[in-house]
Amino acid sequence: MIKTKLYIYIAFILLATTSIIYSCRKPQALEDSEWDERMSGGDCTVFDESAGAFGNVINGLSDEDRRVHGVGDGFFDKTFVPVSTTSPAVGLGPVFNQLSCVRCHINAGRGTPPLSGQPYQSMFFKLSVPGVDTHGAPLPVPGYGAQLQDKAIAGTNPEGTVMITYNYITEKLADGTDVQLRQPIYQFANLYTSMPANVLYSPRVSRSNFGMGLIEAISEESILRNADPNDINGDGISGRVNYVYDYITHQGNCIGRIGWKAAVPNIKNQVAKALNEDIGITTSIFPIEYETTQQGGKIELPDSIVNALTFYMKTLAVPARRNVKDETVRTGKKLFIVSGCVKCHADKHETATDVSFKPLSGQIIRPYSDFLLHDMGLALADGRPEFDATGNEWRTPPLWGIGLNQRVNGNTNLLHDGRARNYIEAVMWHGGEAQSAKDNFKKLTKAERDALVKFLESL
Amino acid sequence: MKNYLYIFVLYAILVSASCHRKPEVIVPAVNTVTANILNDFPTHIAVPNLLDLSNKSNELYNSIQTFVANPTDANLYTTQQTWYATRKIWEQSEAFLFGPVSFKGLDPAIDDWPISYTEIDSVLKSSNTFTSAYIQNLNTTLKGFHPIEYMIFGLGGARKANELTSRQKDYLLAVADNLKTITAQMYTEWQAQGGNYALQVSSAGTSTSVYKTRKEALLEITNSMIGIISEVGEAKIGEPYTVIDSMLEESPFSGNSWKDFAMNIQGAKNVYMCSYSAAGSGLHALTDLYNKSLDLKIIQKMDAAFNNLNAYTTKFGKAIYNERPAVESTVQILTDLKKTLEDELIPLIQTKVTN
Repeated sequence: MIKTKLYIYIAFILLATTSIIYSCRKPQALEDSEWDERMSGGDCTVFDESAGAFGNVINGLSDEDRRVHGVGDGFFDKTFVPVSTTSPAVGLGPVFNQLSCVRCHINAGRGTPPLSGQPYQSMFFKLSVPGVDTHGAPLPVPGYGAQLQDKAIAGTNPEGTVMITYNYITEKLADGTDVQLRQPIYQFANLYTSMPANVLYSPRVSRSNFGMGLIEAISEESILRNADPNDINGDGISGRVNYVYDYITHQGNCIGRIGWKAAVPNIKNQVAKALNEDIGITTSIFPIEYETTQQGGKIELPDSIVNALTFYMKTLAVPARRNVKDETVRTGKKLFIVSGCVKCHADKHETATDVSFKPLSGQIIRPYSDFLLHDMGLALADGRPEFDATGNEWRTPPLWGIGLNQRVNGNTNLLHDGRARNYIEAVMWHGGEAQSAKDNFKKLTKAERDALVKFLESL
Repeated sequence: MKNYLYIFVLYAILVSASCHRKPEVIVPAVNTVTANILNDFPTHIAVPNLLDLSNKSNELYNSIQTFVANPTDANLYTTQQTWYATRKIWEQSEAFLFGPVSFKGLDPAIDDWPISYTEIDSVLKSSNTFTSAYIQNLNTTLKGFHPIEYMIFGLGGARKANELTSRQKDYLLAVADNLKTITAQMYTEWQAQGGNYALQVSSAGTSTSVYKTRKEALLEITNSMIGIISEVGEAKIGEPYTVIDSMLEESPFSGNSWKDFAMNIQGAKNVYMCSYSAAGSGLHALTDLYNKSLDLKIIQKMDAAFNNLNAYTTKFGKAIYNERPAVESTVQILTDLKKTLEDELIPLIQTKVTN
């Protein structure tokens, strides 16, 4: 009897314990796969939907690393002024596009193209003449260099500016809906000296800054996996790497990852180039002052600060996706895939293992880009080659975060020159290798288009 | 048999008790609170603060106009006092620099620093007429609060009325006119008859708002509030302190930097409490609903930060050289406040606000 009682008590304890564990277990809010989908930047994702969503630091940094990030952030926001008694070492200009990094990348976000006839503030124009230099880079324009600086310090003439106006054209979707597109027209104005007749120019709206550390960290295998330069699979989409020059290591043949044409191999090259060409600040990487007379040779910003700025850019977190469980968003995602968008806007990459910097190492990320060059057709072509990129080719821009552009920067403009005012216009400008995807999009019903847009808004 | 009955009764009680959780009775309450916060933020904070800024900038312009017409030391003093008063309003508004003021780049045109001495000298030496369009096109380091401060206080803050040339006075008046125009634009962007950004906030969660959910708008307000606390600690104080360079001080001519910083924190508290023009429902109400001790901690830390900044008697430009432990302590107070808001308030909003 005692033994029976003992069994009953043991059975009770087991039953009670099991019941407690199972009856109190909270339901999983999301399945693992869905939860992962929100984490566009892997562990470097941040849950922030505010105007500051692009300016957050990644997790996993030491206190010292956070301090360096903060120093870089400070210089990103810093307004530069010309050399004077208050700023004896570092001087703005003499010609430049902006006074600070943040003026073009407001809230670490993208720039805004002007309305017709208005001056531009957060975009610039790259310049060249046909041919390449010893590094394979475009040849600078005599007297102007590789970029038009539209501002100058007092006492110096700006190089000139560009008047931007728009022509409006209409495309019709399969269901009869009209989509009005605006086509930019550029006209040089107030040039300080004559511009060669064979000048090539390319408008560039400034890009968002977040996630660049992850893009830099993507393994070469992950990028090369999508490359199909000779279209062996016959899907009409090539995907070429832009092999470019690294001005820090002085090595050519580096995979280009950054910029509208992937002409820059890493963040530090980008930082040094932007300091030099956009603000007129020299560094050890680009020690020649970017002025009309090309004088200089003095290093204004020390490597320590360039490194801090680079580290700041490298450690900006990616905003998480929203509404991934929403049925319409899910439908939109399926349409994004079946329409062929995902062939270039590749949804998944892996970053390389880096034992020296764990936060960016071995991450599964979803930037929605293959970071390869694609012929996008004549309507979008700038006609200005840059390293291996032809005048028709553009790097697939990552789509992560575009659903927050309105919040962060107050507009939904897209493409390299910001001509598209919304997602649908951006799709309608696709051509060349993307013509098939665009044609598929045009056949969608309104409900399907709305779903696809809702998916893009969730990114 | 009786024993078995006891066992099963005990089992039922144990299972039931172990799963007992606090009932989620505050879901309706949180909806009311978030609606109130988003209704009150524009009407009690943003719009009245920006209206005050616009009006005060107009007063500053008028006082400068009077001074330029009759350049006496008394009129210069009035101008300086009006500058301080305008500055007090502006610094509070820096706690919510989101929306059109950010997108349209209005902030730098009002409050860029350091100023560009060499370019101001160059502009003054030129024969250019200081029209509205001319000032509008100047770099932001040549206009806004600080060039006005430079003119009316002078290096060292000992400006006398007769020291200003007529060219300097013309420039001063033109820059003040530009400041008046831009602050008026800031107000217009928020108010109902203009850009009506107020409606974007108050209608958050509806299809017409840029904020698809109330949570998005609350996080916008909160992050903006944290942003100014961060900027005061890490940039406005932190950078000059770290590199020990008074040339990086924000308001060096007027000696007003500590007051500027204190008013930034006052602005953050205005947002948190919703207490600028009249008492309303602020983020405080949401924190109080779920975590009273956190609410108390935030208020205490904000008050501590404000009182610390307000207590300085040594000018900022000297304190970063001569009172470094005290300045270090100030930076730490601000860092702690920021950390509390980032680590505790943000997660509270993210987890408790669901729509």
